Amino acid sequence: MQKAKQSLIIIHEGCIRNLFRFFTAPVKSVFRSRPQTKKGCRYRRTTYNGSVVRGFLSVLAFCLCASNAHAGVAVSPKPYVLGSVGGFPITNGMVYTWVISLAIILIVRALVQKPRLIPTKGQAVAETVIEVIYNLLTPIVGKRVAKQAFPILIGFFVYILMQNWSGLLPGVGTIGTFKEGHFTYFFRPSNADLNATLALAIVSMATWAWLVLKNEGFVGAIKHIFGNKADRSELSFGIYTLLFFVFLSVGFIECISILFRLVSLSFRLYGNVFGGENLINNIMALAPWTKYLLPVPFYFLEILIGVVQALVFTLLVAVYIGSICNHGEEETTEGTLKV
Amino acid sequence: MIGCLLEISGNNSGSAVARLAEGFGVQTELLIAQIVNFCLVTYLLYRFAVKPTLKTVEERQKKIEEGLRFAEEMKAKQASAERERLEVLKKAQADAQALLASTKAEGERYLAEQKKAAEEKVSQLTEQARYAMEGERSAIMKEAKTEIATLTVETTERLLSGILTDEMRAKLNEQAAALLATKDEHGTQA
Repeated sequence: MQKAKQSLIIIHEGCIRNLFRFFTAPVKSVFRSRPQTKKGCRYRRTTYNGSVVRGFLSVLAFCLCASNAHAGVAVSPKPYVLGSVGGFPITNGMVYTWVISLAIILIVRALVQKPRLIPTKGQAVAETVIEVIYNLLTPIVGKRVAKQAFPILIGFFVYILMQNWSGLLPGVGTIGTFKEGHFTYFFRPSNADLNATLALAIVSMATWAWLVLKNEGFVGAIKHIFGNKADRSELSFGIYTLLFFVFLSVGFIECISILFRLVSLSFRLYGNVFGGENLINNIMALAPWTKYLLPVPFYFLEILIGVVQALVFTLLVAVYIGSICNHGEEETTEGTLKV
Repeated sequence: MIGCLLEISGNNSGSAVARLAEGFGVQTELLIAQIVNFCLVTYLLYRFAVKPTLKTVEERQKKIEEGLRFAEEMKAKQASAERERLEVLKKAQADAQALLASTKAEGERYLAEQKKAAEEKVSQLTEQARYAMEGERSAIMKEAKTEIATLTVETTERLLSGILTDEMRAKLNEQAAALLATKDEHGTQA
């Protein structure tokens, strides 16, 4: 058994070189202005074809081997500490967060480049995403606040979406080493780490607080939460006074719900991604043959969940902001894109 | 809430929340690192992708609006130019019609004048010719009468030279001359 595990590690290490080529080749191609063309040759021959094929086969072999090693073992609810730098723990979740963060910046930069009036295909994709999210969020947060909230909200959407989808890439949860008989993988999906989702929730609530205080002020926010929303002209004095106490109680409940948004936002996202990881892991371990084709539908499910969760998180933050900052007069107006 | 966060981050170990945090691997350093990482990515994303894209979209919208406004203006200008063209054309047609009518009238008037002048000239010439003919005729007639009278007188003289006396002859000549003179007057009057 020990020998088999040792051989697996060798396979893993042997594959890493090709794996690296596989992932870096498309990135290189983005920065290469034109593929190399041989003189007299009718077809363009890209230089990374060979490494892509080798890399793909390596990834395939690697994933199968790694799946064998990892399948059936429940995914740890917390990230593994791979090492530490100056007392700062480097976890597999943190490493993958950095990798994907870098990838997000590179991919988006490669897509957008220098924006032109007549857009390139990549720019058109980026513009479509931005426009869809902007038009979706503007009626929720209000046209006035949309300009202030949009940068962070689009950040939430893109970041969570890319982190969710990147958790499905080959090698995530499968590349690693055995330490003391336990498989320790290098890459863990960022949102399967509560640190990441809690961080997102903290940032979202800080943004919410900042926007509410900026647009409504402290008194305005207190009035909105505890104030009597009844119309004085339609009610008798007694009922109106009574409603003060009702709305005050509702305000306290609202405060508790606001405080628990941190928990709900972070655990919802964490639970979905972590659950997805466990689901795929266990599907692979059902029987020796189930790791080949059976997980494919679940991968599609996870792709869908990735989008839905990114959208849910972003929309909820927008709703929290809009519930206090949007006064209704702008709800029906569709915003126009402006910096 | 801050207390809860501190507990989650492990500062207050031993409680249920701290145990939960430990179970999920929540650590203050990692939490801060994730926050910094997300803020950095969001900032870079906004600074280098979203903002330029939004600016380009806004610029494009402005260009499209300008283009549409320009097209509208051009359409209005074209309509106005078309209207002006039609007006000019209409005016030119009216002018041409008026000119044609006046030219026609002038032509007719000129024609009438010319015709009248020609008729007058013709009648004048005819009159002159008639006068000339009359004069010539009367001259010829006069000459013919004189000739005839002379011939008659000579013939009569020759015939009567043997019969008549000189006295009778002179009397006859006078009578014949008087008769001729009378006839000549009647002929002229006729």
